Amino acid sequence: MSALYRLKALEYSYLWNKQQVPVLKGIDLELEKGCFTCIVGPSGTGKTTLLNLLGLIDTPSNGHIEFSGEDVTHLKEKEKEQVRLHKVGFIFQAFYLIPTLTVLENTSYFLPSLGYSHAASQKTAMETLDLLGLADHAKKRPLELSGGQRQRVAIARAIAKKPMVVLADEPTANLDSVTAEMTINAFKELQKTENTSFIFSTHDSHLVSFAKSVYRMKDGQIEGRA
Amino acid sequence: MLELLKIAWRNLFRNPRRTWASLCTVALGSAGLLIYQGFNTGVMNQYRENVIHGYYGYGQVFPENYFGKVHEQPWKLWFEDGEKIEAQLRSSSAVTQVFPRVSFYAFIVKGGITLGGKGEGVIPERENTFFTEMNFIAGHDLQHPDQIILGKGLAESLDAKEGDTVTLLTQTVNGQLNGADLTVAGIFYTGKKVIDDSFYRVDLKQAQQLLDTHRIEMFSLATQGVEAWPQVEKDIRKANPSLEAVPFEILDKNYYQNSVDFLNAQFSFIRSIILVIVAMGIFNVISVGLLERAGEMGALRANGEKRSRLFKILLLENSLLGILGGFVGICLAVLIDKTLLVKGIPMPPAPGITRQFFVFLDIMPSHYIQALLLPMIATVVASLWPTIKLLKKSIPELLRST
Repeated sequence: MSALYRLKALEYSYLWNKQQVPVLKGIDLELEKGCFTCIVGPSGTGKTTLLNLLGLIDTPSNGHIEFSGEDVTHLKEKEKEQVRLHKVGFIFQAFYLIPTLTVLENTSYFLPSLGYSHAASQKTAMETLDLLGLADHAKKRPLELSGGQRQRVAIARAIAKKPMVVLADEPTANLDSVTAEMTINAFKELQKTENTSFIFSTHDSHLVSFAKSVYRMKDGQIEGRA
Repeated sequence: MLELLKIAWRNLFRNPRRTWASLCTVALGSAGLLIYQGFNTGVMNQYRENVIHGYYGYGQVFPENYFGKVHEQPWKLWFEDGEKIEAQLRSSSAVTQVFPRVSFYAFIVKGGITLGGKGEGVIPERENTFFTEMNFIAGHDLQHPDQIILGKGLAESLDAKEGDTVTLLTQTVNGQLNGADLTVAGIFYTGKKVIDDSFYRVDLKQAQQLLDTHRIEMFSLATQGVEAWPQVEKDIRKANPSLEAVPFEILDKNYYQNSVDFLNAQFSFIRSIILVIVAMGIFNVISVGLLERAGEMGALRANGEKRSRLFKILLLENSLLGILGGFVGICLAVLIDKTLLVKGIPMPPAPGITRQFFVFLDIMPSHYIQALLLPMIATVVASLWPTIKLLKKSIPELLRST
């Protein structure tokens, strides 16, 4: 299977009180297409930073990132925007849905930018909501939904554009066990049907148990693969 | 674009209380602008009506090189053939009436009191249909060649009342003394102290007889309106290039034009203050609202949303807020105009005027456009800095901001 990501000597640091604080310290990693990967480790070990770098929303201090065979380390912001729009779906712990738009409108938000007509974007968004069991809630606003339902809307928004990879930062952290189970099942279903790659940073052992590969991070480095 | 407009519109209802507060700020600014501008125009109109219908008409026509200059023997420049000039003036279709006049200085004697004053000979039956701002406080306008009307201050100084007889003593154009006994037909009160204290009017024929001339000094004109003056000027120049046509705002530069310039300058300054208050009032609300949405912006950008598209949405959102606020403000101003201010605003005497007057808001179509657009621009300008500041942040910064 070909590589989705190839990370070489990846480093990331930030400036604090005129001193560089290292967060990631030389990460070498290769992730396959269609993977279901979890990155685990204690808080402050750099899991979120690694996800940010994989999603091209931040730039490494050193090293290289190859995404789908292309070196994306030093792309310009506009080029990164295009890669993110077409190939990456991001899901966050806090959902970040637009409260004034309906579930359907949130889900179809990015589709016109990808060239979908109004009718096509509505159809695709409805299919995605159906896949996640939210078709009945299409006309509701996010605030009318439960936490789990909102998380699924966030997933729907990320996957409706059919990205190569979905990056999720603690996707089940705010969910009860039943909802978390439903969400994980939705991920698995998508991985099977769309061959979408999933990369999570998580503390959730239940989510970890479903992952094909698990990387443990410690002090800004990959400590090992479980 | 329609999609962006839809999102922007919906975003206005994200936090109704905050939107309402912003809307009120913009609406009050817009209403303030409209009422103040309407008031300003009302005052100017009142001034203009006083000037036009009190004395000058829409303009006056003088012999060549006469207006604004001092002449030792001015009557030598007066129009020889008044009827011919009048016909030339009437050739302009925009001229609705012509008022030939002569002016002269004379002593007015009543009993033991003798005062100097400036008078005018006019055709009363023509003048009293147009010059309606003379404001007779006693008696009426001239109805007979043996009558005279006096300014309020002049009448008081002479202790003259309606029906009294005064003697007018003046020099003819040949330097001989001449006089006439005239009955006071009425006392007028224009509100302009300089006129009311020394001005009088007699019949044109009486004035010509006193001066021993058949000449006409100048013609005041009634036209189809202020806007018709350029056409009148053009027609007059065509009919007789030697005539000098002067509009009322030049004739009364001290009173009218200076007042208009003063009020306009004052309005410009107050408009700036109103717009700064609107911008400052709304800046804080917009900044807080944007800060609350930082995480949402971060998530959208992480999924590929362009900075420029978010900027457009926010710009549209604030433009809509500004327009909506402007519209509410206009409705508020119109409501106030039609209810609280329906009887006008009582004003103390303006500079150079001694009587009170009522100002009615005169809101022009261009004022509505200004009241709609200026607060909108102030809103958009106030939102630019926090919007740009927010969108300049990196995505991780945005995600951490919430």
